[in-house]
Amino acid sequence: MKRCLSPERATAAGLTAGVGLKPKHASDIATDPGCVTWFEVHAENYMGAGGPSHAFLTAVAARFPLSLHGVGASLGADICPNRDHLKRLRRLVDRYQPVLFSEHLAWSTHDGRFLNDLLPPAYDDATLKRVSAHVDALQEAIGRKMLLENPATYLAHSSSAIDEIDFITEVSRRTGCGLLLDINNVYVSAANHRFDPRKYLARFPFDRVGEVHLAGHARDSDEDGSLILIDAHDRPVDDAVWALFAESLPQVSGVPVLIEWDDPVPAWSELAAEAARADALMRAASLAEPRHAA
Amino acid sequence: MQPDAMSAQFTRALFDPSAPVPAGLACPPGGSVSRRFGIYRNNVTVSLIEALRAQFPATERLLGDERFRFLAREYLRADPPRDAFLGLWGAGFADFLARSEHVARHPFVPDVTRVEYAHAEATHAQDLPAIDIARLGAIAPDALEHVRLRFHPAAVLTASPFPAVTIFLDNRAPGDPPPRSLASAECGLITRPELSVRVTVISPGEHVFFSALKTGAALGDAAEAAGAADPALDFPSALARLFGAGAVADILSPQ
Repeated sequence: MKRCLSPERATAAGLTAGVGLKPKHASDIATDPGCVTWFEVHAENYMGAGGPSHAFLTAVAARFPLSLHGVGASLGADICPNRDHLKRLRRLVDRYQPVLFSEHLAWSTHDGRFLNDLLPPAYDDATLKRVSAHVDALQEAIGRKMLLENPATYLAHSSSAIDEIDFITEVSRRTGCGLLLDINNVYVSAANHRFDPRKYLARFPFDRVGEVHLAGHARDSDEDGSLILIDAHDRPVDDAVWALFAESLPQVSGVPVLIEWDDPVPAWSELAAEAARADALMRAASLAEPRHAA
Repeated sequence: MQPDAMSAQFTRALFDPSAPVPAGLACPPGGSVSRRFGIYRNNVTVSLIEALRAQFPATERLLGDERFRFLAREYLRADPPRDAFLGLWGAGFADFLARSEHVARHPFVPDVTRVEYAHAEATHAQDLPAIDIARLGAIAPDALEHVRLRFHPAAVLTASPFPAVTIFLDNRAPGDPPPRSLASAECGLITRPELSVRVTVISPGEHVFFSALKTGAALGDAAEAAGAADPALDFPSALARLFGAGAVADILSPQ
């Protein structure tokens, strides 16, 4: 039987493996959380005034550290994040006291419409200025620093003049936000834009990373038959993504790692096994590193 | 291109498959920008159809999978969400269905959809304790007609010329729904005094009574309006049903 890092170590500073929280897993979590020491939720799913979803999250929050992950602030949009939306984020932060808060480098709103997808921003000076202002607005609204997640994209903007890593690093430098490194997103974008994910990761500013995401992706094909990967969160983490994670571990030692598997929601045993795999890799890496041996 | 112009074009093309793919997008040689744009369009469309399926399962069951998907796709283009919280999206879905020629042969369906939306509203409403009918007993009999009630935030009323509440309950339950006559009008009281939503069938007279109370009418005035609509209405049992369902949050005694 696999051993896990003990839950006591899972403080704000030392979270280990976490998973996306699903109401379907409520009783499994209560009886045997396995190696899972923390949970992440999409903030937008808990923006109702009350009801059973809040009761569920309150019960989980009493036992486990939580991470709030926003998908609707639309930091890459042409206008500042919606004020009411920011107020609701603040209420959630106040109510649930999450140990982590993250949002995406993407836009998901236009002209009052919510598009329910993470759409790619152009990487240029004007967007850099806008995204930085929006991150500032969000951080001010919630009263704390956030983590910004690198996107999975299918298209780029012809007007993009700044490299993605330079763009993200500069937003982090200007706003003080940390970064959420989604290694599946790196792998998906690398396949879709034909770059080497290892070269990307070699340049990533790991010192700013406060959380890692791992997820499964689906395969599709382009007009010429070449591979397109879809950030689908619909299956286990791909072996190639596990390999990139293992190679990155020396640089993200001690950083909390999340397994995202959303649709269809897997059996708890399958999800817990993915968390155990991440936990085992993290343990091995922390033991291998002399500076963490004591 | 200005960012707002780009996102306007992008958004239009997401919702309208006949609109051109926005200019200024790129992918590696050999790839197809329009095919890749289709991934975003598909993500938006499928995820919003799924959101409606999650919100309106009884409606989906009544219309059938294929027709529901078709109508959901039409609806999300006509009335896209205005809020990142999707738990209350679809307020206009019932009216949209009522206007659709594809639902015309099943005129009771939009009313079932209204009950489903009321169920969603009750689910996400503010948590608050409901009060017991015993609280009415503490009020002097001659003051009762002046009493007003503050409804619980989760309490929603529905009305239909069809047995929409019963059909809703049938199609939310497992197993094949039994055959139902469509001949009777039926109203509903949807409440959530604690964590579980309760759906109660009420008579049209009770609907008049409760609707008046909900909009702030005094007990005497509400009873008068309801008595005019249904002279046989049994007020004590109507009030017992209202309080019993957990629909009342407070009694506002006359000054």
